[in-house]
Amino acid sequence: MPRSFRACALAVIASFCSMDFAQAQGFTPHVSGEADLGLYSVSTYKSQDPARRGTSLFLFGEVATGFHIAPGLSLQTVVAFEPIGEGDALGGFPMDGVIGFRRQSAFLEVFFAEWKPDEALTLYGGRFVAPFSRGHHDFPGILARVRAHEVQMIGDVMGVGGAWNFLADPRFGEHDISAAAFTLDRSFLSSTWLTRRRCCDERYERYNRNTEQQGGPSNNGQMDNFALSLDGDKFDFAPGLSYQLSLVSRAAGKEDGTAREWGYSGALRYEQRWSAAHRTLFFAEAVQFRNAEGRPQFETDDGVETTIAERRNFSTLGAQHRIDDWRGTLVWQRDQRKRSVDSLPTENYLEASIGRDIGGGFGLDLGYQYARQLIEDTNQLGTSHAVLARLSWRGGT
Amino acid sequence: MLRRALLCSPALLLVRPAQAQQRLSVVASFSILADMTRQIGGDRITLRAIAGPDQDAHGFQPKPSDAAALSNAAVVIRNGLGFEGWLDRMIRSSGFKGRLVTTTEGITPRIMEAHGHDHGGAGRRHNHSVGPRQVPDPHAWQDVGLAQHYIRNITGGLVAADPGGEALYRRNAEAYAARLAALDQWVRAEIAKVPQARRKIVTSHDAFGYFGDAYGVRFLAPQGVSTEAEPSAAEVGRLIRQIRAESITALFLENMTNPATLQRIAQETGLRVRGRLFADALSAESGPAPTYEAMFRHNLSLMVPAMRGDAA
Repeated sequence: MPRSFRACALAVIASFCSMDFAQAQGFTPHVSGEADLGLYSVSTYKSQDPARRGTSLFLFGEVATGFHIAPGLSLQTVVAFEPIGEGDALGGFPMDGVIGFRRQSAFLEVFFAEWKPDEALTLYGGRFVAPFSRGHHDFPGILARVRAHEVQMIGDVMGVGGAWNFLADPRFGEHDISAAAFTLDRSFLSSTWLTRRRCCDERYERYNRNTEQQGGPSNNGQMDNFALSLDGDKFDFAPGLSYQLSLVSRAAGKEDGTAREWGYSGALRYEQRWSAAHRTLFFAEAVQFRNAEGRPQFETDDGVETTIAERRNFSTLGAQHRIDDWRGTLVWQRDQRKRSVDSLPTENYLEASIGRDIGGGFGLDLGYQYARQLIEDTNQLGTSHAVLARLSWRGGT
Repeated sequence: MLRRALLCSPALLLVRPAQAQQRLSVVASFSILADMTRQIGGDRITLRAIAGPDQDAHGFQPKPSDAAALSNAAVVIRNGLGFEGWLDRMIRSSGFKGRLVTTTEGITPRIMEAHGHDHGGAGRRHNHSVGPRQVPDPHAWQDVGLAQHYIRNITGGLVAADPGGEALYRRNAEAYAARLAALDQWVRAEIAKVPQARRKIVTSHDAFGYFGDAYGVRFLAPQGVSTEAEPSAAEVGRLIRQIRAESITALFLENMTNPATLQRIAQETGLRVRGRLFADALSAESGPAPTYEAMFRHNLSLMVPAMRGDAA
């Protein structure tokens, strides 16, 4: 990855050279931090897939820090905590028992230098999450964000990017455009920590640092992968409305994959404030990947070499009503994977939860999930019912 | 005589619009700056405050008519130090070509604690990064001594945009500066009436840092620099414990902040809210703080008895 490292280093040096340190009146370098962590429990009490029955406990969230070197110049890090089993974001299959932190990992999700030359412009370089879609960072509810994190987040990338507030008009709102060019990070920074690998389990693809052999989109050592995003809010005619449109394009991996993957997403949010205490947030997001995973090579059961052409559509629709410290959320998510071979059924999830802030930065949410999801052994759809719980903590310094 | 008067009258009609055209078009970002500018510019300027009386300039959402006023203005007066981010963005988009005056220029700002970013909500997506914990405190007008910088910067901006009015602007500025110097002395004298140990005030948001530094009063606030940020339950709990431990008696609301948090603190501590302070915005003309000077006199008339623990 020397080329991308060089690009990042040059971006940082350029940032330093352009700083007017004389303007740093009264500023002292310091560290600021924020944590958003949740202890999750998914208790599947009824399921057609016996492997899913039981309880899984896992940790999901992040600890973010900003090392502020000068006004407008900082080093940003995010350490993320999540189960890393490929294809299953909920910490594995409990098999009628209780499993805890089985595929738990911690890893450096973000490590970049950020420079804000003025209020409208942000430039950054390093390891980051591509500016594509948004729900993976802030979907309300219990599991909606966890699933979005697995399906639609483009992480593990290294490169350069920027965001520019190009319009701030009282009638037409404020709008930002974000762009990034990147490659898959194969450096030591992409290693996961804490995770104990179980023997022979193919789900641990993210156990070690990324390698060229691992394949996958954007894993080519070139900066020919990009993401583009348009975000806006503060419209005169709809003050509670915001939108996002984004695009990602990732080249085929060197060792695996035969086509460029394209991703498109659209998100809408609207918050209606009924009174100082009552407000309702409506949110919707649709993500589509064409040539998902770069149309990887595949060997059928008959031993025929082919490629999997997949169009993946991931949709979320929901509403959250808040009354002071209380919140009630209803979310529906749909994961459709249209494949040329090795077909998969469309999964649907419906989640209802209530929660409240309980003081000291802690929050407690309890919910129920009805799911129509894949039965691993049969490749057929099955239903499941689960009780969800989350103890969360948010804090900052 | 009559004929001469009649001959002169068309000329007078012509003169009046010409004089009206000469008035300098000035836009101020919020009511306090508008009042200062009015004191200096007098009748020679036409003035518009974007965030008017009792309006919160922190998270202000401008109207289309504000953008139109901005694009036609010869001078825009702003506070700076991150106080009116919306104005800076609007200036870029409105095609404003006039003179931009930053009233805090020349002031070394005090540094204050900032609040973190919000997860979720209806706002547009922002880059995921953690902002600085230390930010410049923009509320420099709360120290009357620093208002002299404001006067100097506003006067400089008006003179540069309208050199013909220099004598008037400088005369008005001089008189205003003298009044504010007297006001500064009066504030010090009023605060001196309060025993040092009792100079503590709880108020809605952290707007009185400069006041505290200049006049030796300690302010505690559940809300940070911006009135948009909501305090966490832990922050409120900590403040309640501190009020009890230090026997603080002065508890105030501010004119444009959400009263819910302060009312909760009042309930839990058994204190009575002692009134409404004016921090970031003036009152309407009919209210108790229609000018910058009146704002200080009103605030001091509430603060001093409350700190002393006098029955209201």
